[in-house]
Amino acid sequence: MGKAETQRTEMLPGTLYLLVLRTLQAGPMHGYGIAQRIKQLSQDVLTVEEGSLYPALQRMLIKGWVVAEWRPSENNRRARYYSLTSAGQRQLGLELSEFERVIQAITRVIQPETIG
Amino acid sequence: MQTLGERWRRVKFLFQRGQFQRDLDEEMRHHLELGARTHAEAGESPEESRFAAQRELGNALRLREESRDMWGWTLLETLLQDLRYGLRQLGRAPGLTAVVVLSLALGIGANTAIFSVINAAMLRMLPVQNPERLVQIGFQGRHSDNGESFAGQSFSYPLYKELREQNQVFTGISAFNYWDSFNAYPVGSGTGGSGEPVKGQLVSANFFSVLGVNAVVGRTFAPDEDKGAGAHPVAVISYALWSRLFARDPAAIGKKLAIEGLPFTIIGVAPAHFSGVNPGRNCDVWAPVSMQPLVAPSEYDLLTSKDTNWLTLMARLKPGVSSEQARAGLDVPYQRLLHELDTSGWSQQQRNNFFSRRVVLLPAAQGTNYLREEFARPLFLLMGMVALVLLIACANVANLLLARASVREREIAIRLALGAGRHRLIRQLLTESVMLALMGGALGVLFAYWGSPVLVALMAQGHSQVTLDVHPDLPVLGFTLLIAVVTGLAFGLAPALRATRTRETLSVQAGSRHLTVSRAGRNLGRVLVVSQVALSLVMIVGAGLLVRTFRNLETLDPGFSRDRILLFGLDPTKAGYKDERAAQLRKQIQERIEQVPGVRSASFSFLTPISGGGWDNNAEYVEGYTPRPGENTDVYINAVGTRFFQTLGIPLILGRDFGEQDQAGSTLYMVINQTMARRFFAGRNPIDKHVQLGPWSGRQGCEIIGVVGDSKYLSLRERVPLTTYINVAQLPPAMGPRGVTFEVSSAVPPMSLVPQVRNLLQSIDSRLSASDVNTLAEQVDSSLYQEKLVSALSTFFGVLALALACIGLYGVMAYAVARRTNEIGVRMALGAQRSRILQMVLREALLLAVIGVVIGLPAAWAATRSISSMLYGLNPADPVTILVATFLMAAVAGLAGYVPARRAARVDPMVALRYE
Repeated sequence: MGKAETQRTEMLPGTLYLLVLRTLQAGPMHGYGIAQRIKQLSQDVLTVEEGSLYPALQRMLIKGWVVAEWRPSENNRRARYYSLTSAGQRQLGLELSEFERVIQAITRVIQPETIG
Repeated sequence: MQTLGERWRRVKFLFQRGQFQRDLDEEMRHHLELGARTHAEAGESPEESRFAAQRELGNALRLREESRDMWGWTLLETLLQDLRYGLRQLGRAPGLTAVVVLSLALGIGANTAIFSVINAAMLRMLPVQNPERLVQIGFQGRHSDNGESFAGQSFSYPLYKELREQNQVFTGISAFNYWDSFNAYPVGSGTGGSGEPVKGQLVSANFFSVLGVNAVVGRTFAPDEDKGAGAHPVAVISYALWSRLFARDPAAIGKKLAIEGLPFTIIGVAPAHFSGVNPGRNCDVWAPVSMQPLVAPSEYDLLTSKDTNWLTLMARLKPGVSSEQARAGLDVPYQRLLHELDTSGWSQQQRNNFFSRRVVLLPAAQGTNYLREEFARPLFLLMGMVALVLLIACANVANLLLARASVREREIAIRLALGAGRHRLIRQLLTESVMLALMGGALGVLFAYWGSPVLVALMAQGHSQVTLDVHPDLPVLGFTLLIAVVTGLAFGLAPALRATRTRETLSVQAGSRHLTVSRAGRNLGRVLVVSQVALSLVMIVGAGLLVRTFRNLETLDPGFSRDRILLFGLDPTKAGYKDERAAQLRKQIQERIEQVPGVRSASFSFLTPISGGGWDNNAEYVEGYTPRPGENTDVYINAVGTRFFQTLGIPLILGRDFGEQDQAGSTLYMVINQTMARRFFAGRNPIDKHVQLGPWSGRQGCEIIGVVGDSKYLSLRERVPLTTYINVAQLPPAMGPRGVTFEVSSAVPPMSLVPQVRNLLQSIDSRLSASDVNTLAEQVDSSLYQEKLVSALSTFFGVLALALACIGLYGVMAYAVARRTNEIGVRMALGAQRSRILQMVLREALLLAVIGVVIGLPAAWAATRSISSMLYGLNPADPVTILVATFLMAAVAGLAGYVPARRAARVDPMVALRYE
């Protein structure tokens, strides 16, 4: 079994939820929109593996962080819009502070001289 | 941890799976369209744009599955898939499905039937408050006369009252008599005491309060309603009786019920499911124990007698008191009360034995233990047998599925080749087999539903009436479900493992006929058949031993002639005859009956043989005999009339029979049996010797006037006990029995005499009526009802096992022949004789049977040792039984092998070769 080589930048595990939640904070969005937005905002550094978005969204639906709703889209077709719930807002807060903690920890490791 | 909302969303999902699928599909389609448009806008061709969008999204199929998996119902969904697929598969082989389901239904049904009886008789909790806190009070110690270990569960009324007063460890002790005390008749409007009698029991006033059972209408007994003999003619009736007689009209309270001719006032109705505390003996009426002298008169004054033990005690442990603490706590007053009893005429040895008694507490959550004690052994034996039957059925089904697996080999190989996981396939195959088992289980419950009442009817053939509610309840259905699932896994596992073995993938060749089963598969089939043969042999040997035991007992010479003897009970005191007049009446009836044409002779006695009743006493003094210290000199006694021995065909060996000249007041005469003569008077003449049996036999004791042949007294299995006969006419009035049983020896079928006897009694006194009319043969036979039950059922199950093994063997051989048609054709083409082919196949079948027998015999030997105490007149290694069982097995194996062997011998070589 060979390891699948990937050209894309690896994201920190678990950050997908954070990114999706953060993106949805701007307002309801459909799946394709979420993927594009993340790509855009990260200036193409973070390419969400578009497909993996959907299982993640299912999980967030189960958790009650987001709700889905069919609405007419900009091109007058039906699209499924996801929007953040108050539980999602809370989760976003949690994920953010957790992310901060991890980043700080990593920073301390790679820049030890700044501490002392 | 899942939150409530999360769980709710998951469950909602389960019912909107279709919608979910459509939503996801549309969503992803939309995604692809938008992606493709973005690429098209960047100037790519439509084709390229579509591919690019797809690439970016990833594997749509996998994503869909991952999304679904998120909801956590994958297992259930695939199970549903498997079920649908399995049903289709089973439908494709209806014959096989039918055979499998039927044999499983027989196996599971037999188990369910026996279990539902065990459940009803032993496991079901009483429908009362906290039944696990109830205990039955008993005692254990040494028999005062013979010093043998002795346990009892009945107490006298005075002792009960004392225990109740002095008790510190129970919230209450209640008393009741186990046997139905009386018959109650509904008092109809105007007709007065008509209709079917219902069974009633005498209970202490606290009976219902100790159980924690409240009346649904009216009330239960007040605490003082068991005070004062005959003072409170009140009764509580069962819900069933209330429904039957009063159509659940609350106005029943206050109405009357005739109990033995006395009007009792109904004060309450017990709850619907409460039918007393004795499993197997439903009760419809409860009356205070103090009403005993009026409704269940006895020769003894049961309410004051300290040495008549007739009450069963049930008590409820106080909160926080353990059973052992309670036992110790009750033992103190019990010991004190024992010492207060009058033991003045006793020897020191007897007294020591008597005082060795200790209280024991038996768990009574399921009610009294009488039925449990009586039926535990036969029921567990039968349970073991039906478990074996199920095992054999399992082996059969496994074999059939194995054969089927080879047919499905291609299907499975293709599925494996297409990437199906082995575990997934095994799960699918097991789902199928569990499904089969559940279908068998459902049908089995139906069989049990019909079978259990038959079983209860067989149990009820004895002297005791047994009524058990064996309707399948939750525990029974749970049991059936459990064994069905376990069975399904048991018989499905081996074929499933084998069918999915990966190297079998080689057999994917379109249209290939080389679908031979691997050697391993064939061997597994043979192992299964061999074990079937072995198990059936165990069953047949066991059944054979039990049948022969029954035959031995049935044909045994009990020492009296059991045929053509009519029995009927008569209680002269009921018609107002006492003492001297009763004696005259007995004599008159005896003589009048002897004049009836067809009657050879008639007599009467206190007890009849094998009636279940006994009277024994210690021989305190035997003239010219010195017992060894501690020797058991217990003697069984019967009081008989003249011509008793002649009527029952018991030979007079020495001396004389009782005569009309032996009257009350003169020396008490006795006739002894040979066993007693040999024991006490070895080599000496016993005539004119004296034996003292108890205070009633006087200072001198009884004088022996004759010796008669040995005959069975209590049961057919016993060794004839030391027995002595006393003349009824000579017994002091206090000792004299109230009722006697008349024996009529006739030259014609005894039951045909009944009308004449009834007329005769009416002509003597219209108040006289015969009770318990029976034949002696019937009475003796009914003592064997347990043996009859187990021998009949074990034969039935043995035949079932044999039939299943036969089918199994046939299946394996038929399959082997079908598989080897080709080979047989070649052999024949090369000149093999048909008879050789026949032999070859037959030899293989017999070889399997022989291996099975060789394994089965030691197994049978081990298994039947556990029933050796149930056998009579033979031991577990009974050669006749083993020989017959082995022969039977061989014959069945021959039969099972012969049909396929003949088919093999008839193979047309040309056809067989083209078969390729």
